[in-house]
Amino acid sequence: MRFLDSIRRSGRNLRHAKLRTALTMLAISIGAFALMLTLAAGEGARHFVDRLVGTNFNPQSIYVFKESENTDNPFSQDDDPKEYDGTSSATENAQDAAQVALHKSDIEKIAKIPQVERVAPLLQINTDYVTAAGAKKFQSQVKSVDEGVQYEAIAGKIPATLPKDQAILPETLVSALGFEDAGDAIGKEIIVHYTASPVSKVAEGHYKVAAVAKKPNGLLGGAREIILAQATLESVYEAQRGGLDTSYFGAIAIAKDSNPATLSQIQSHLRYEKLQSMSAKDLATQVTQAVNIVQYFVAGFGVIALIVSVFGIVNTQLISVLERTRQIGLMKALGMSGLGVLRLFTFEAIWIGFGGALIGVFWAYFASIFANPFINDKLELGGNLLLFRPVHIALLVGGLMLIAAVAGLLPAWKAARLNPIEALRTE
Amino acid sequence: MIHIRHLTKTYGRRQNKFTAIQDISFEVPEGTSVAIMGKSGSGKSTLMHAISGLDRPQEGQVVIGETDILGLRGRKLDRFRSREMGFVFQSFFVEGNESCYHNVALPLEISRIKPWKRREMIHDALEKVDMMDKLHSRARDLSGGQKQRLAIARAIVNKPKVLFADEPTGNLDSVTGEKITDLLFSLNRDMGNTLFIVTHDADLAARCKLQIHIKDGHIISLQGDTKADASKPLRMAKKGTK
Repeated sequence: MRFLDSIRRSGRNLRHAKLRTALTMLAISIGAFALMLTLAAGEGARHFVDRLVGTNFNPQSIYVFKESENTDNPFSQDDDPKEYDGTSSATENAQDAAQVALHKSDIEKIAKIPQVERVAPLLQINTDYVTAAGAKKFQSQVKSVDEGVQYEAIAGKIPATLPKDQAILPETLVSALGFEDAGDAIGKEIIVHYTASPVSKVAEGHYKVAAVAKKPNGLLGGAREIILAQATLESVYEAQRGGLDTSYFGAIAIAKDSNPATLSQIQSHLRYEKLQSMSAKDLATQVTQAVNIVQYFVAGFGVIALIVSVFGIVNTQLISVLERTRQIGLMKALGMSGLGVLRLFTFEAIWIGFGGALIGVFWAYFASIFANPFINDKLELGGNLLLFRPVHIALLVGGLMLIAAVAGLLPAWKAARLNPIEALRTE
Repeated sequence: MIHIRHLTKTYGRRQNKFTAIQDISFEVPEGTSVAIMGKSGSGKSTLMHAISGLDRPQEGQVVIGETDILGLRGRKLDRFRSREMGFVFQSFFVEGNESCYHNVALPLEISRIKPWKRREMIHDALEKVDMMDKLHSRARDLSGGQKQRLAIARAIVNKPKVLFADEPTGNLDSVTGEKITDLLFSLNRDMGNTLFIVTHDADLAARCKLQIHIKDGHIISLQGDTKADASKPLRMAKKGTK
């Protein structure tokens, strides 16, 4: 029997047993549904991670932290008592573990790396409130313009280098600070009040609004706090500490360009200096890995559902072979080879796998039409979570056809081995 | 000529050994009609299965034209059967869910006839059994006689050299059976194929040119127009009596 004839005839055979075929397909479609959703969610999550990293991080920037062997894994604490060896005290060891700050010398080392354009230490500045002339006081943090995020101005213009006496105002504070709209705020003065301390030499700063930055969309991009120039923050930082403390919890190295090769050169320099670094790509990889683990877990359930449905196919096809013993006998009497019979029944199983996969994909797509707006509404992902890629659909359908073929082999083999004389004698 | 030489078929082993047919030989000219007669259990079905290559006797030869079909192996035998043989069964074995067209198409698909040649062959076969009006009817909706006519169309669509009919009228009333018998013989006459009919209906057997009576695996009589050595099977029948 020709290939196409086998496919057609097996398809017709299935159509003649509609209910049984439909039920078996439904069983498979459950696994297909779960797997399709997993694939779609994984795709959506990866896209979300890309958006998240892309809107929150400057592709030219690399976060730099101090490497510390003792803090690699906070859970692997050694509970055994250590004997005093006369050289290091218990307190010193505990301090070593906490010693993860970057010092001025580290910042200089980073700045010397040829591919680094400039280094901006990450500064923690304590503020009490922000206000404007005639407005109430509102809590707000200040952040350096160098901290990787790319802001979108809804009014004014974000300058290439922000002058020391200017600020970018987040959209959320515009009306709170008494401005009519974003345009109205441009050029006006805002006052940031810094937290007092016994050594602090700075009380407040007055800044002119250079631009108003768009508020974030969920977790994506945008400004949450007042943005100041790195130089402004550095001087406030030193003044707040009375020049006593010049260590930072991290720094951002800004590369000369966003070429991946440049970034990896910088990162290898940093490794040599025993500094930990993280580029936007590293962060995306890390988050994606977490997404993948969740995805594998959910996919596991789909696979279990599929395994169950594979037995469904075996069962259905065995019954089908039993039911059609005489038909098989006739075909063999008419000169159909065992291989031909095997192929005919395997194609039936493949059809079932094909149909089940399509139904599953259809249900998954149908579910996504309702689920996507809902998830987007709740989680503010800034895009659909469930994304269907043709290549995923093709992979799923193809994979299920293959699985169905394997499941159909045993019944098909039984059919192929039937003795035509005995098969024809069956009543 | 179709030569049947020294066919012996046994089932089981040692104590359970059962000889279905023993040392059966005869020959018939091509295009003739042969009735194989005997009671159930006589070995007549086994003989038919052996001649058609469905069953494999331990000894003997079945030569159709130039081919010793028992010498063919696996797929070659399958191919020979699909091209040169047709089968009609007592209980029709038509595919109830399929249309008449697809029922008749089955042997053509099995013998890998090119798709564009099939339509004409199927129409031709259905016309010969006067079933063209049922072309797209489902086989299960047909009456018994129509089913058997459909089965005959399926058997002749490949224009086989040999047509085997196993109790073709066994499930039909006498009037319908008569019509089916007429059809088989007129096709035998028009198409020139050799017709083997396994039956215990004496009237049907009488219409064949040759009648072979089987009992306990032996030929007990061979009557009619044959070029076979009539004395030989008769002699064997004597020798074979227990």
